[in-house]
Amino acid sequence: MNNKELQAAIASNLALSQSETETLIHAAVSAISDKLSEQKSVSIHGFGTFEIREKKERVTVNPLTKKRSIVPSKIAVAFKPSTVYKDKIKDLPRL
Amino acid sequence: MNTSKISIQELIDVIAQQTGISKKKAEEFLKVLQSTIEDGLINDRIVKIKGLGTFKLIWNEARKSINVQTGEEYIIPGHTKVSFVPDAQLKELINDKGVKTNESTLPDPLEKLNEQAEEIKGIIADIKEMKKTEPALIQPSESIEEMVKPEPELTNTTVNPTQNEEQVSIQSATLTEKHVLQERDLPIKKKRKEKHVVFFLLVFLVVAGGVGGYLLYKDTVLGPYIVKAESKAKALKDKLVAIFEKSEAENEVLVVEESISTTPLDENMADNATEDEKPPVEAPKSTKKEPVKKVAQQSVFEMPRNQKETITTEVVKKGERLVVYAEKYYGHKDFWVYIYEANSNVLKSPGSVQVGMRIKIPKLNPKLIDINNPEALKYAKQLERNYLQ
Repeated sequence: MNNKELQAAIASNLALSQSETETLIHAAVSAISDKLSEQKSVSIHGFGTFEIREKKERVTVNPLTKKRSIVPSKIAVAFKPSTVYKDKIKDLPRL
Repeated sequence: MNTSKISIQELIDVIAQQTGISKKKAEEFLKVLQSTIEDGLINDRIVKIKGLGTFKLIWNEARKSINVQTGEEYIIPGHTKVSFVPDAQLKELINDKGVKTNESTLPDPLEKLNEQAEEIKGIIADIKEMKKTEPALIQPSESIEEMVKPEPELTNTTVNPTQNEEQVSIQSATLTEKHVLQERDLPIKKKRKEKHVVFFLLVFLVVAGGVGGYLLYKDTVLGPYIVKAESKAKALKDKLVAIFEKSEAENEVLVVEESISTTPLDENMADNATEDEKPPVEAPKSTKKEPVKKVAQQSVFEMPRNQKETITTEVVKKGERLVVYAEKYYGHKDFWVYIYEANSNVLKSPGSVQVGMRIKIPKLNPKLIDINNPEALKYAKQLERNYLQ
């Protein structure tokens, strides 16, 4: 399911126009990412938590040139599904 | 990290504010969004949301595990789990506001090692210095070392005393030889003094290993010889000179074979022997002699080799040596000496060829590098011996 399909599904469910749904989705996404960028985690009850994790800088070696370089520290976004949701999908059959 | 959780309620507030819809509607929307994602995941196993990321359902294979407390083996059944990969856009956004550091190359740890190596080298140099000053304090040992210096030469030429005796009859020849000897060895002596540090190490080893042996040696073998030498050539006053003479004896033989009349040099010889050195006078003689020898063998070899004409220039690659080029361009590896000659300005010694050097391959007289001519090979070998010494 891609973004458009998601949008269409929500639109039909809420009886909203495509453009309205789009702005809503966009608002939701930006709200989540804003909070994340403020170093806050966003939890959606019954689904999971979006949180940020700080990755420390590390040393890598280019196997070709044997040059060592530092990969700078960065912040990664992680999604931690809630136990409720985990249990929900746990027993889904193998594809 | 000051992570404070934001609940769905706050999210609703923000969305309502941004889009201007009622909170009720916003809440409803979020619930629908959530359920749609869930449904989408169950149906398609993948949901992409622009600006946020991708949710995916992944099957985890069943695997064995051990209960840590009881030590019992049990199987974790296969199950599906959700994975989330953040959108590149989101990553950027978050990292922009976060701590920003640029990728930078790390100083090679080898550099540190190199520094340490330098330090160690310095320490070694200090130790050498100390060793150097040691003998200065202990004068006698220094004198012994002086004696030892010529030792290697002596060992090489121990056979020579007998030769010398035979050649007393050909006094003129021997005298000139002495001449050359002194002339050659004296500059070396000076050099040695200057490069005392380098030389000292060698001397030190020789002293350590051979002082005892040498002393015996001197008494048994050298002693009588020196006496003989003195009687033969009155001019020889000290042992060093005597030793030099011996080493020259080899050359003498050659000279004798060539039957070069060197009588005019005799008078000079006497003078020189007493005065020890007359470099300006002697220099030309030595140069004279060399060519004569070669003439006796073959004229081609006597001619000065033209090193300006080159076939090509080679950039030394890994594993390549002069021998390789000689084989390639002249057909025989023994002719590397000519390449060495042509590159003597860059090469301090035949072994100092290094990767990346530009080596000129000189154009040579075909007679000089005639593989079928044993003389040519012989001459190359002779040169090789000279250079390798």
